Amino acid sequence: MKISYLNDEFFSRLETLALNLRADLAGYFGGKHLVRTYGQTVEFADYREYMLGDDIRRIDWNLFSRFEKYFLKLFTDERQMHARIFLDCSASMGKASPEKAAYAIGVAAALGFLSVHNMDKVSYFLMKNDVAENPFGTIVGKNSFFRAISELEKLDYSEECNISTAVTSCSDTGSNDGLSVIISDFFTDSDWKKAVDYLCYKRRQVVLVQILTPEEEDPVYSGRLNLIDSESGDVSDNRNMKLRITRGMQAAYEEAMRDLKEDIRSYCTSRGADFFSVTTDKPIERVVFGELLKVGII
Amino acid sequence: MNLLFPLGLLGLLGIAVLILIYILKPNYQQKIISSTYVWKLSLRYKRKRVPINRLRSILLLICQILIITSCAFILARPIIEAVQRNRSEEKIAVIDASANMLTQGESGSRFERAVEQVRQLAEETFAKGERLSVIIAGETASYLVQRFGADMSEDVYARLDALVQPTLQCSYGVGDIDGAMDLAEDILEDNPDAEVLLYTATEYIDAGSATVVDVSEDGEWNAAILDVQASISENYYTFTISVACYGRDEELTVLLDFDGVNYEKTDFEYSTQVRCSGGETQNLVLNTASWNGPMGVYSFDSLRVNVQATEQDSFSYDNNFYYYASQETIRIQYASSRPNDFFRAALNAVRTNTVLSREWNIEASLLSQSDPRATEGYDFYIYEEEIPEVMPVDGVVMLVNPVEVPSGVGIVLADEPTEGDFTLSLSGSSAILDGINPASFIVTQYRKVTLNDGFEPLLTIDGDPVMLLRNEDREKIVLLSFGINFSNPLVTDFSLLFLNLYKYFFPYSLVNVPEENADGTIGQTMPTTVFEVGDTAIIDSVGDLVSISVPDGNVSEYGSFPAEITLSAPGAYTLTQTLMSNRELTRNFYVKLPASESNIFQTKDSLELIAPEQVSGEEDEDLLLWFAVPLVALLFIEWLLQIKENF
Repeated sequence: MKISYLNDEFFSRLETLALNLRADLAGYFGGKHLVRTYGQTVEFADYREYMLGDDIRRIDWNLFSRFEKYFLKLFTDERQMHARIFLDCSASMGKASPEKAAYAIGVAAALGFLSVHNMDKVSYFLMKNDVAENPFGTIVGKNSFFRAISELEKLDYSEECNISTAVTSCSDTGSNDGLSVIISDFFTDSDWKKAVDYLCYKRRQVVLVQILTPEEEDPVYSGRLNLIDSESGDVSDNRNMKLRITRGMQAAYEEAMRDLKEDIRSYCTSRGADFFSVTTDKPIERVVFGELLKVGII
Repeated sequence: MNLLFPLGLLGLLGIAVLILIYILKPNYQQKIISSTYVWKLSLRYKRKRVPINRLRSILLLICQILIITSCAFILARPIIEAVQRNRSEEKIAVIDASANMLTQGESGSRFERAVEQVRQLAEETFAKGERLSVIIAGETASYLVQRFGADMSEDVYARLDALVQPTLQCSYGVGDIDGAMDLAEDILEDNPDAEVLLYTATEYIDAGSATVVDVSEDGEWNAAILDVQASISENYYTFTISVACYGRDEELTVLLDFDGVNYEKTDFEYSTQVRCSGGETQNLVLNTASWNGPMGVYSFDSLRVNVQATEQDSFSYDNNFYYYASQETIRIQYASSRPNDFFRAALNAVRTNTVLSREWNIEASLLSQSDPRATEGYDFYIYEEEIPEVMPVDGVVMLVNPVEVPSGVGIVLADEPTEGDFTLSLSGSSAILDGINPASFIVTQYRKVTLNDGFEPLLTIDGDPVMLLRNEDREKIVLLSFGINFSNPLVTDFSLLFLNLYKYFFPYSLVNVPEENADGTIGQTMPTTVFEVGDTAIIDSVGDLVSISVPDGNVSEYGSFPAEITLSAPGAYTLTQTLMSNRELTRNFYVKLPASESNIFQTKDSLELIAPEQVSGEEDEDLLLWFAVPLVALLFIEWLLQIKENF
């Protein structure tokens, strides 16, 4: 049975929220995000002395009467952002555990909805192998968003995913205009750090979301097992491994998983990016109202 | 190490099965996951494996193999055999030599058949190179041969032949089977593998580890007189005769053949019929008041009770029973210059004494002063305050308070008596003084003995002998140098002294050896004329030679007394003694078979053959525990390894 977290109730609860992006982004005209630059809104921001070339209509004459100097009255600016969501579509996200894929789509849809709901644009990049495809183009407005989301639920998760290549080779990563989210399990040998670096270089606000199943977080299986990687093509694949899983091995796994997360988190922190990891047994609302809130995205 | 059940080692095949299972068992189950990347990372965190850890992977298999091995050995019941001494095949043949083994059949007696079968056993045993012991369970058990091997076979055959030729060496008593089993146990202690075979006609309900070989024949039966008892009722004899018949139901004729009836030395016969069946004892009570015409039987010398049937029975040793009632006469002459009532009463007491009157007819001649004194023809001569003209030489002479002693006797008395209040004291030991307290005697006058040649002093006054004894072949003299009239004869010790004196000088006494009572006390010795095979008779006499002729015609003579005679053969015995007077006394007595042996079809509950206890250190050591404890430990280790394996 196909798993889906997306429904009207889910989206209606998101309507009360908005993305809270960094103020140093540039963005486009017509949005709702306050930025550091001064604009043409009605909300007062600051004063500055008149300079040659400034519009004399913006001189505050009251101040001139008091100080006999020309001061301009500055107003805040609001911009439209473009959220780019990179979704890992490799087999590891959906082949072995469909709920993981559904959960990832749920997170992606939530972020997308928050964007379009706040007059922002959103793009979904589906990463597979070395490519990040954007089959839906730039999505503006809820109608386009829901069409895209309905298509997302039909995705086929197969093959591998090289995050760094996929992101860096993407022609539409944008620059200083919004949020970039990479949703994956990060169980990959590819250097995803390059992707983060690249996005940071593009002055994007970067968020990494790790989706795990409970079994991946805390494996309950034991004994002699031939562990077949879900992305492997056949049994002889190098990624497959035979293990006698004991309590010690389980402890080692937990330690490795903890270190993997910490590695991602520390790297993201060093790059000004955000990271959080969730397991599919937790309600998806917890991601929105918990983890995203915690990192300050909303 | 030896295995009691070697087939149990087939359990080791389980090891092959276990290995097969390990080979066939799919070791790894496939599981598709996404996190192999993390698993690979986790390998760095895993502790470095040390050689012992590598061993752990095969430890479970080793443990399971050891468990199967332990189980297989437990099934095989391993033991370490103790060092055995002389443990080899050996036969112990026990031949029952009880009287019932004399039962005759068509092929000889049971005893002969038993010996023949033991001979065959010996031949078979020696042919196998084994050893043989033969134990004869007679009245006392003894080895005929003890652990003889084939090299001694000729000796064994000769000894076996000697059991039946020229005469049967079978006892007439109860065989000591228990003693024989004790002897067999001595051998079994050294060689527990030895086989015990008992050749007997007695049936044992529980023979234990022994093999009982029945040597009886079909058609054997026995009619028996078990016992005859006589009592006098209203001056006539009443006989109680115990009759039994074993192996058949028969109408038996019981014949009573009297000799010397009613002091007339005539014979008399009486017969009656009795129906015996089932081996039950029939007690015939026969009152003789109306027998012998109207005279009845009030006296007889001997009685032979015989049992007869239409056909001769198989066991003849109990078909006759002899009962003797004759008494020999002892004559006593009492002469006194001052007749004394004490002696009259003492003689009367001796005549009516319960014990003496059983054996003896005591005739006492109490002479007055005017009666002529005989110097021969009596067994006892008592002279009080007078001396005989000629010292009698054919009997015991008792001189009481003589004024003087005839010359030649060896005693010289003082001319004048010594007067005063004196008490007596013992000097020496003699049966005459048994139970006597001399201090109770008070003497007011006695004569000192100035010369004593060959007399033994028995009683003294202040060291002066006043009672002396000479007991030689032809001179049996007792001297009392004080008068009854000058003492206190009414004390009981005086009566006892004279009774002891008579008993001491009576020719002989034939008594049984008293048995121990249930309370531990010893019963009284009683004169009797009926003994049982195996009994011991005691003959006591003051010195005259006693000869006894036994049923087989042999004569044994006894010169020192008391003499003990073990009566080992049934039949009529004759005891003969020639007195000083050259008078010959004869006494007959009968030795009967034990009543139990008349039952030739005995059944006993169990045979007392106790299996020898293994001496500590010679027992086989059971190794079950040595395998069971490691098995439990291995099971525990295997359980731990399984837990380790799964987690």
